[in-house]
Amino acid sequence: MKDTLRRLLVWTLAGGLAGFPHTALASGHGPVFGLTTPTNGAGGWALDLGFMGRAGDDDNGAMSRAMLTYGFIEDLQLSVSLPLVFASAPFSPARGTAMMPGTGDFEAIGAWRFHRQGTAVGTRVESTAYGGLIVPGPQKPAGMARDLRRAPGFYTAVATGFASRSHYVWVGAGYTRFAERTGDQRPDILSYSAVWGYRPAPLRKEYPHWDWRWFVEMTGEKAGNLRRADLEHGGTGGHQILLGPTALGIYKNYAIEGGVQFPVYRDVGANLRRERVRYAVNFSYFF
Amino acid sequence: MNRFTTAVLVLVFVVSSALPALAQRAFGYELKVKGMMCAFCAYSLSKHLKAADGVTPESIEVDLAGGTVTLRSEKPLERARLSELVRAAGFQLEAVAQTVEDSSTPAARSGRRVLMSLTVDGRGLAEGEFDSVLQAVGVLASQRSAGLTVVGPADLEMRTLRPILMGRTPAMDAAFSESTRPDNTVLINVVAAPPQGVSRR
Repeated sequence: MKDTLRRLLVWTLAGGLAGFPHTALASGHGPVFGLTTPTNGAGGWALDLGFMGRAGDDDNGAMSRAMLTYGFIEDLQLSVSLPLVFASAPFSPARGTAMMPGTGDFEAIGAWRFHRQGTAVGTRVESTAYGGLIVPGPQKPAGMARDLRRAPGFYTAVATGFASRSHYVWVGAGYTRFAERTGDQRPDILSYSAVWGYRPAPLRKEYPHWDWRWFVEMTGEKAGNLRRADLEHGGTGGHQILLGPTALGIYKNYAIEGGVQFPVYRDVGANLRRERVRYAVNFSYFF
Repeated sequence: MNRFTTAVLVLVFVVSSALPALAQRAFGYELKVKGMMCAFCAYSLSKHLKAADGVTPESIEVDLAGGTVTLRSEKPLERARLSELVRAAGFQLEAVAQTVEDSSTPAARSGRRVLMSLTVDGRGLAEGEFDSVLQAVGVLASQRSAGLTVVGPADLEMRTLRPILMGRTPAMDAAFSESTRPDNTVLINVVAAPPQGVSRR
């Protein structure tokens, strides 16, 4: 515990020295867990700080993640995120949140909003493609993957959706694949999500007031088994679908979002713990 | 006090009297923007518009429900520049209504809200074409119980605009003002409250 606190302190100081405000974190300004389409404006920065966890029958996992995003042009952005794992548990391989994986990996994701159309005042239809590079961090996962020789991987995804003053709908799917390293390989993960958002009439306030909206987020993850020394280990993959409510509030250039998800479908390997609830809280600072 | 001192004092007085008027010079714009729906949209768009040279940051107001943004600038802003700023924020500029909120503008003096604004190339249209434009705008103005304010070169007003307005469309309430713009464009505003008859401001 003392070691974890010391690492947290070092990480926080490093962030401060780099000139980052400490108010940050989150997976953009859309839903918490699911894929979404907005990108930063041209020249716009966003700093996100997320806390996420997975609670199971016997084990719990928790971590924090910082992400810095820059919009090169209005439809192209790059995000880089750094992990700090507090506790790790052998749950089913999962992406976690769309923009910030719930693992101890470093990640850089490019997002290209290849379609954007303002259909009317206050409504928009758009689609975004993601491509990212995943690099293993120094913190190791729990369970059978602990002693795995981990290699870099890539993440690719696409999302499309509709947004208005009252309703939001996004659907998306992603795929994570890791390279092999001396016969060891982490499992591929197919992830998908569907999000419905709603801003009730009393909350449709004019700028600059707090702007709140609610989401119902469904995410799914289907992972294969891990390989060690060229052998596939059964019972290390699985398929889960989670569902739950989340909320997002924005005030000027600050945002806070958070929520929980519960498994509604679970078919995971015998070597994995059963996940009961997944949660995440994010703070965002746009500048 | 000799003549030179008197002349200097008069000059200082004149200049100091003129300075506030110069400082108040501002151009107003109302932008119709597609795609905004949340506070972050408003923040992002405001941030990009603030970056434009001459824009008064505190003048920017975003109406999310109406999809409009109003702002003032000390310098005139071309539609292309405004469109570029809106696009950089990730949105689409649908329309721009411009009002010159200068002391030379009747709409600014009276504080009337501009319902529609039309900029016409003063050299590019023949009299007959001007007639058609003003007829169309005048019909709209009369239907909405509104008025016209016309800002343009003085010679154009006497030669073209005044005869059209006075001779052919007497129902149209119009006020003229001489343009201070370097080009020869004519700015026609349909304003909320009509002025009384045709007048020269």
